[in-house]
Amino acid sequence: MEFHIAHLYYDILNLYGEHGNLNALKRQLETQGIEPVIHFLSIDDEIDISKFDLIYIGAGTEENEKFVLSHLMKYKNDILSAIDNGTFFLITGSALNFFGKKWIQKDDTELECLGAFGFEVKEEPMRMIDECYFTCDFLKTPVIGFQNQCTVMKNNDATMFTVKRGIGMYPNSQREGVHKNHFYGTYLIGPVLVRNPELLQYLAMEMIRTKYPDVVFQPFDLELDLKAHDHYIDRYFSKLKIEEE
Amino acid sequence: MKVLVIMFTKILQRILKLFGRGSSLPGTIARKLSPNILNKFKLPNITICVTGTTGKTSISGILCQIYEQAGYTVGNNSKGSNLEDGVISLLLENSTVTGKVKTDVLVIELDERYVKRVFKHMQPDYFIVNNISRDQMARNGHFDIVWNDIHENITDSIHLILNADDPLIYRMALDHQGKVSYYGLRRTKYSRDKANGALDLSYCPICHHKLIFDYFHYGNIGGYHCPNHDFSRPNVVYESVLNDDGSFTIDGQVIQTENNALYQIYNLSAGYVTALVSGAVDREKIAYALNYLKLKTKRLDTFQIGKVEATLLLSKNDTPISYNQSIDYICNQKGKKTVFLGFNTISIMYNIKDISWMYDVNFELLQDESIEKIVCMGSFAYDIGVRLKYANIDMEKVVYFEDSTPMLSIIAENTIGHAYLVFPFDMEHQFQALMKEKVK
Repeated sequence: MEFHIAHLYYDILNLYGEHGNLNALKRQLETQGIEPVIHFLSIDDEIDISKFDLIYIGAGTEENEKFVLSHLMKYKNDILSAIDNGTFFLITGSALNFFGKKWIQKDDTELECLGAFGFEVKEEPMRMIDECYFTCDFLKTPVIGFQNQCTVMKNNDATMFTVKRGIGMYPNSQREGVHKNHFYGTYLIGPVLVRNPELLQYLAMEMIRTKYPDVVFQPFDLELDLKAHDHYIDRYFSKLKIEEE
Repeated sequence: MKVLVIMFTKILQRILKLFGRGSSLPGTIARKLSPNILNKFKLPNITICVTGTTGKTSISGILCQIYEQAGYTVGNNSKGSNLEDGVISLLLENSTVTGKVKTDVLVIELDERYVKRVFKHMQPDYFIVNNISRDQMARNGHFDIVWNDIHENITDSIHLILNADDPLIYRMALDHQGKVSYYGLRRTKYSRDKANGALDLSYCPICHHKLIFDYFHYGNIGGYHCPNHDFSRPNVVYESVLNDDGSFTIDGQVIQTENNALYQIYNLSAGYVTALVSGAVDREKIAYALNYLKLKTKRLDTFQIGKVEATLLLSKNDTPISYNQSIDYICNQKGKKTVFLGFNTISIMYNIKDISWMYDVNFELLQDESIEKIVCMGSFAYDIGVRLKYANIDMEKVVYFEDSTPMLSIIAENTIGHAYLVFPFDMEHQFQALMKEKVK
């Protein structure tokens, strides 16, 4: 049993330790007897989107992201049909901007994006940062992480998280993330899966159920990850946790 | 008005000093009274600014010692603040009431994000940029923002002194019409063929093809060229060469290093090249100063804790290059080792608890067989543990102490071989305080 995972633009969209996500996913898939193969591809490569079970893209600087966008637009149709056909996508940080309709730059000029979703993003003159505590319908435990971005998102009708603390789509927004079929995107940066073991396990199980429905699940290797997650929440988000309950 | 502001704030500075308050406050007040105060000073013939993600304080200290040893008087802000008001305070302290700086040389350490605020008003004769890498991104934004802030404010009158081995830094020279001098280190036996984690510049800024790295010293620092020859490590006239005994040779001069840390060679080379091109000190005198003066390294110190010998490596969280240098250093030492990792706050600068930077630190190197044990300490002990787990460390070697208060006994009881304490400022303060108490 094999999974082919593409880490796209691994060498240029790598601001926040993104590789941690794939290390964690790889390790957990292995506990289930799956052999994950990670393909590192970037702007010098031809990319065959249809070959992969999961596509991962992380955050970069604005200059690098625009550089990537022009490369990614070559694969627009392939990406749209992959999302429709249920290929898994994990998108973290500002890489999410690629998947909306358009990107309004600081000087008000517009960049056309992939148009997989109806949202649009606008660059702000300042960066917005915050620690985050989100909840999610398909998870029992809260999702924690960090936002550090210079864009805000409007007209997103496919959100995934409820914001209890954090920037969300824009300052003081109630919702965040993009979810449709097997597309999971969030403005949370960096090692989102490492910090949220339940989300990691959920994603691994969904991927396995989709491709190998007969697999009997084995215990995952998440004891330490859960301890780190729970201790962090107890230390810094205990008030939010009580409100939840 | 100018004279009044300078006079008033100079008096204030004296008074504050009497109360033991040397600070950037006089600078702040002077700036409030006269927003353009910085361009009111008459600078000496040699005014040097030093910036970079790491090495600022060390290079400034090295330059001060070279010039002082050669008989010059030097003004320097490394004991104070390296922000705009710290620079103003430095100038106030060293000038006459008319604003004429009295020292022969000024060595100004400058925070990367404050270059624009200072250069708007005054340009140095020499500007050393040692490196730029991902650093406190929650506070600074990312490295492109820092790069632009510096690059936009360099005028052609400035003689740039650049680290040729950092492609982001070499990129600053591309459109510079003024003078440029480089320092750099030739490939060494410690150089690696593969990158040690994520790079901050991996594509040619001119043709956008992937850069080929011939070797890496650490981080983004090494030898590189573009396949189309649009952008390659420049020729370094005063290139440093590492010798087998840990010393290095630059410009025919052999320089001893106190610790065999590669980053220290960059700091010393930056000092050497700057002093030389400033024309004020002979090469032999520079070499003498570098060899015979005790350079205090802020970042490395050794201690005895009971029977345990410990090396403290001050490593900034949130600045992977600093952390990676410490880990590299540990791996290059001989003998059995125990590594202590930990922190209770991410930063003493701001209250933010982002831990994504840990995934840009090359903890994978701790797989080294010489490492017998890894001790995770402090509030983030388990988060560090998870990072180690995904770095494929043998988790049998890892232990946790969430409460770091009994630090000295944790170290004494858990060390096999030599102890390496990889601590940021908060743990370092705690450690130093406990060590002092012990002496009493």
